[in-house]
Amino acid sequence: MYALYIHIPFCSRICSYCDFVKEVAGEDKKDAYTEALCHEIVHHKAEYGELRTIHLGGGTPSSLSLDNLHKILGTLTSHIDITGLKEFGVECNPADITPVFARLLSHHGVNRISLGAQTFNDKHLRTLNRDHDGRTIREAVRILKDAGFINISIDLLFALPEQTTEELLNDLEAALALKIPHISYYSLILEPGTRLHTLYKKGTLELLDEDTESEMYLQLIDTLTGAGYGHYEISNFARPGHESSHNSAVWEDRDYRGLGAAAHSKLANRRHYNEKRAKDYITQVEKSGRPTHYDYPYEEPRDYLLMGLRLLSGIDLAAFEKRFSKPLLILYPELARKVEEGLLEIADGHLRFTKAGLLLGNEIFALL
Amino acid sequence: MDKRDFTAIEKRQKTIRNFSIIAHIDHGKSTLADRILELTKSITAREMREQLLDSMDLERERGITIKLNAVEIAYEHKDGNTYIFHLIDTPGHVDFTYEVSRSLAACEGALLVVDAAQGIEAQTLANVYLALDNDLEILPVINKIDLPSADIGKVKDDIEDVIGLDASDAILASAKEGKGIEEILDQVIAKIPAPQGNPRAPLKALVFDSIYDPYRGVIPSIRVIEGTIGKGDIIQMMANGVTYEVSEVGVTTPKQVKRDYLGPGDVGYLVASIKSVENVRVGDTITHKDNPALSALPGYRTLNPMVFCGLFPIDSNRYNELREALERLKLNDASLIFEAENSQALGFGFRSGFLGMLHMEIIQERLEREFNIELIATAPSVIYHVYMNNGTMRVIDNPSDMPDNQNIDRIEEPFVDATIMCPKEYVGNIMELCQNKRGHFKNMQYLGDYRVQLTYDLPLLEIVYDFFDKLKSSSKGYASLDYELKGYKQSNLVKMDILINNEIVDALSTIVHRDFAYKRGKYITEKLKEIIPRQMFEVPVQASIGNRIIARSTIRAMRKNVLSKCYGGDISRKKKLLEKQKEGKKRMKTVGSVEVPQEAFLSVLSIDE
Repeated sequence: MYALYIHIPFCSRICSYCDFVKEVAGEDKKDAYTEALCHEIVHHKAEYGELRTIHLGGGTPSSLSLDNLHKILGTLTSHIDITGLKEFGVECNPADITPVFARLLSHHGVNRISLGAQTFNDKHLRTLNRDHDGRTIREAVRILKDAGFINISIDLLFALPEQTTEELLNDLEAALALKIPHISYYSLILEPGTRLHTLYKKGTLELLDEDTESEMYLQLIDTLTGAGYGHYEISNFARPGHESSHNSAVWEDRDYRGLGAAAHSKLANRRHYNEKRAKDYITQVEKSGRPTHYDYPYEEPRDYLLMGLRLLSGIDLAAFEKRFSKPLLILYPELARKVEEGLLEIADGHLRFTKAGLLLGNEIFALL
Repeated sequence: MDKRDFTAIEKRQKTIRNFSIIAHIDHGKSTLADRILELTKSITAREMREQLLDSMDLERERGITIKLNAVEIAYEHKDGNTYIFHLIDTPGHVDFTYEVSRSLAACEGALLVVDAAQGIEAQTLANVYLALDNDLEILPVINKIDLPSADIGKVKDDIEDVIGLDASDAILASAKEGKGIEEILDQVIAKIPAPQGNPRAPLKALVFDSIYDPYRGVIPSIRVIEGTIGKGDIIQMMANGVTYEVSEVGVTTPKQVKRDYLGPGDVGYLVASIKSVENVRVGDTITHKDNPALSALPGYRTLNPMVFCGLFPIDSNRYNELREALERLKLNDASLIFEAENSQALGFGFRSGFLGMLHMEIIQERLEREFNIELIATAPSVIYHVYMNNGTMRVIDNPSDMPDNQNIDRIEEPFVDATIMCPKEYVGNIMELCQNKRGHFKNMQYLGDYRVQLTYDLPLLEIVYDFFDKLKSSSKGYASLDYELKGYKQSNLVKMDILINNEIVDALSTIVHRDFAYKRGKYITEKLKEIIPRQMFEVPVQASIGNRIIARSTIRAMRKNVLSKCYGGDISRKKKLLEKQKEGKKRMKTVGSVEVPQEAFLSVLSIDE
């Protein structure tokens, strides 16, 4: 197996835009969850031989106590030979980063930290209901660097309610000043069930219009690529060699095993996700050693294309033909039309987005 | 034939009372019908549903009767006799005058139901006149006397002043509370005459409705006027001479109940393996092949459709299904007409004609609901008389067929005689509305102290648009409208085209009065800008008269539509979003290279102009 994903479904507070599986829980529950998770990790130990990446995501992994983190990371390292790992990453909340915390992660061999920074603007951070300010982010990065971390990434959001272009430029400047090798830059998407969505439905929250949002997207692409970051996925930028291996596993259609509540797995041509509720997950693992798996379809070659086209390097046409025994453009003649329309291009044997196509990706994805 | 007991038939005939109910929408006709069914124990509690006679979903939802229904009721009267009632329900909307005249022709009497709080409405008046034309005995019923706002004296005055009927015996009723129902039945027995007609004479039976049963074929509803009809009879349709062997006759109670035969005054159904809808026309007379009647019954006045629109299946593969569905609906709706139409924008469909806007809406809804065919309907049009420079006249019911302006000498449009009744405080609003709709004032008359009757000459085109809604909103719903086609008059009309991405979309062309063209053009182009989603390129939307562009809006190009969120390994979330986008596209029609949603084609119907 190529990649291992560990889901920590807890947060210290709920952000107003987030619709991932997460909850604010007491320490007892987190202890029980840690216990169950370690159990599940051991349960699958036979699979970890060829492992290239481990990623702890959530939720917020850093919202666990140091004890629990220590247990989880210890269980992982005692069953996995981490010297063969390319990437061992943990998602963290900037406010959770302390020297002790950083040393603990480093001790277990973690070599990549992604920080949920979102924005450096304190006003917008409050709208998003985050528990940090711009200074916290800078401080967190300093601590991580002091602890020897080089591979640091931050997640940022744009098209925030009432965000101006000037504020976006300020965020970009602050991000560049951190001198870190990786930046993920997502546009805010309102998801049903989130606080922002409720406010929007009530009419008390105004979203940016499509034109402003697209200008912002083009702006941040220009700024980041101009500063030497490679734009390698729709929303991801990295200095050469620092692309996220964990995310690339998904985009490149490799196999991954997800552990923990609500974690998704893709193994050969099958997909499933684990029991979603932490409470039920714990009970199930206690009872039968592993949580209930819920299967859902793996569609070939659709999934391969939906993921692969997100990468700016595109789909390797020869590799595609070899794998699916038919040329891509014969299988999907609609895509050839999009090449004529200028949304896609063929270069170096790859089919990939043009800059115009990048903004209108769903128009392409909807054809698949 | 020889087994028929004519003495028994004649005895039975004396106990029959055939009547219908005339009422304005909302005045409680269907509830009253339900109460009568209840009191006469025609249906068990289990079968009782609210407003039982309105059997179509659409009817029950909208609280109106569209198709007439007929039921047989046996009523044991306190005089010791059992009477047979045939209650024939009628629609109350202006569009369905035709259906009303059909039910009235099968009756000897009618209950005139008037809302005690609202008084007589324009449409009720029209139907009362229809009943009087048919020589029916009319029994006034003042309904909803339980309402606090009921004013019985005023309504009685109304009945006497406006219609000229004696209201001294008017029955006071509350169908909701079951009051007055027995008195209604007493009066029906006492005042409505038993049907005439000789059972020994050659058969004459009127076809007043028909339904289609996939197993038994076309089943006509009939009213026997003279003679008898029963199982084994060889019958002949007098209009076209086609013959059938009767395999079953019976009555509706409202379940179908078989009978050996039906005699004069009976209202029932017949089954005769009739396969073709075409051969059994509503209004036709059925007789026996071997002993035919000398002449057919007068039949019905056929109403001509006044409103036309194009109906196109969203999925063009379903053209044939749409044709079959329209044929099925036409079975008992002779006023619906249609012929094939080919639109550049919408492909193959049908140009369809209707009695009015409600009729049009109902047909569209029935096509979508009962036949599951998703439709695009183009804006309604009336029939224009276009006089050409070369002296010929062309009849145009589709704006896209309008000839070039330079070849036209003049255009005439249909005008109606509109009668509007309303409480006096709304007269000002309504006169202003009629003025804005190009109406010519004709008369104003006080009906008693409170109500006013206005008469106007109005272009039918304006009524077809949003007149009725506007009338209701400017009178808090109190005004009522009746209209009759009067004739054609010359008007300063022009054809306005809509161009999307520089191409004329034929399905969006409309005929407008020149004085309103700019305003309407502006409105429509702005409206389309809202309705049509952004495309991959900038799309101009223009309104033009001939070569002259009179209004323009621009749909800006789609700028950004890409899922930039990270869903981790959960690819199903991504797919769900894409499915939603695909669903949306399915409901659109590609016009040129622009994807246009269904509702765009009705945007020319400017309700909130």
